[in-house]
Amino acid sequence: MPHVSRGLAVDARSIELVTGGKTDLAALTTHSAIADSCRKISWKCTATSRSGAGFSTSTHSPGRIRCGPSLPATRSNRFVSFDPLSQRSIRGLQRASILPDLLAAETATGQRNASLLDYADDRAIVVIDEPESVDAAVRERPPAGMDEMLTAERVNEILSLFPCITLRTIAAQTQAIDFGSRPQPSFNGSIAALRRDLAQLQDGAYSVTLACDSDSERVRCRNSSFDS
Amino acid sequence: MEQLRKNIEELSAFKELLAAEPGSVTIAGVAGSLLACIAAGLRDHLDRQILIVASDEGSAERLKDDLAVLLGGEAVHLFSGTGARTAGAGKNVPGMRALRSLKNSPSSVLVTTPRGLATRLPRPRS
Repeated sequence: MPHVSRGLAVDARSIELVTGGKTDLAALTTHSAIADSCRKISWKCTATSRSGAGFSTSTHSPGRIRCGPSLPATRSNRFVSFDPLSQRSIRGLQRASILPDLLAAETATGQRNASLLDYADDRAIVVIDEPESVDAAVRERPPAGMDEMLTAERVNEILSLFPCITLRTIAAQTQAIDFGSRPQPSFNGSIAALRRDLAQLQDGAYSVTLACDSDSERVRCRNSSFDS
Repeated sequence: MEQLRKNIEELSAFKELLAAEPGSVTIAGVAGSLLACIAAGLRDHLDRQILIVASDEGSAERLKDDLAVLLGGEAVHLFSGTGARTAGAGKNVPGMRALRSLKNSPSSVLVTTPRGLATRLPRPRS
C-alpha cells in the first residue's frame, strides 16, 4: 500500500491530515483507515475540476477533503465540514483525524469471535433473568445481522465457564432460593389502596420500606398519607 | 437507600444465596427492583464482577437505572450490543465504556441484553 504523504500516523491504521498538507489521493482512498471507516467514499469532480473525498467524522457534521484539480494529484488539503442535506460547507477544519473502525477491521481478519464474557474477570458471576427467554432471544435474530452475532451454542458454551445465578418467575420444577417477593400491586394513584396494602403487610409482621423517586415525594408520602 | 439494602442483605434467602456453592443456582420470587438490590449486595459481599443478562432491552435499562441509584452511575454499565459496529459515529461509546469497565474494574456491574451477550466482539487485548 502506498504511503499516505503528510499523514501523521496515530497508529498503523489511523491517519491525521492537516490543512495545507499534501495528500496522495489515490493512496488515501486505499488506506485501511479510510476503507474501514467509510461505507462509501464519494469523489466529486465539478466543472472547475475540483475533487473531494467525503468521509464521516466524529463530529456531528460529516467532513470533506477538497483537493484538486485531478486524480491522483498531490495538492494542498483543505477540510470542511458540511451539511449532508444541502451539501453546503459549514466551516473549515484545521485538521482531520481518520480512525479505522477497529471492530470491523477485526471482522475482516476473522478475529471477531469473542463475546462480552471474554472481557469479564474469570471470577465474574453471571445472573440470567429467565434463561429460556434469553436463549430464545439469542436464537431469534434478523438475517441481516447473522454475522454480527455468535451462535446460541457458542453463547451457551461461554456461559458454562462462569458461575451462574438464574432467575425464574416460576421455579416449580427446580430447587430454588425463594425471595418471596411479589410485584407491586397497581394502586392507580389511590393512596387509600396503598395504605390498605401497607396495613396488610404490617399485620403480617412485614417490615415495610418505601423507596421514593425523590426527596419531595418522600416528604409528600410521609406528610399526606402515612402519618394520619 | 442504605437501610433498604441492609434489610435485603438480612434476608435469609440472601444469606442462603451467598452461602450457595459457586455454580448454577436458581432464585425465585424476585420482583420489581429486588434483583438490583440482590446484585448490588452480591457485588459488595463477594467483591466480584456481576454481569446480568436481562430478558429484553427495556428490562435491562430499568435494571441499570436501579443499580445506578444503589451503586452510583460510574459502577454500572449497560451493554446492549446495538451500535457496536458504528465506531467513530459516537453511538457505541457507552458500549466501549462498558467493555473497558469489564476489562479494568474487578468489581464492576454490567447489564446486558440477549443481543449484547451474543454480539461478536474483537478479542480483548491482554
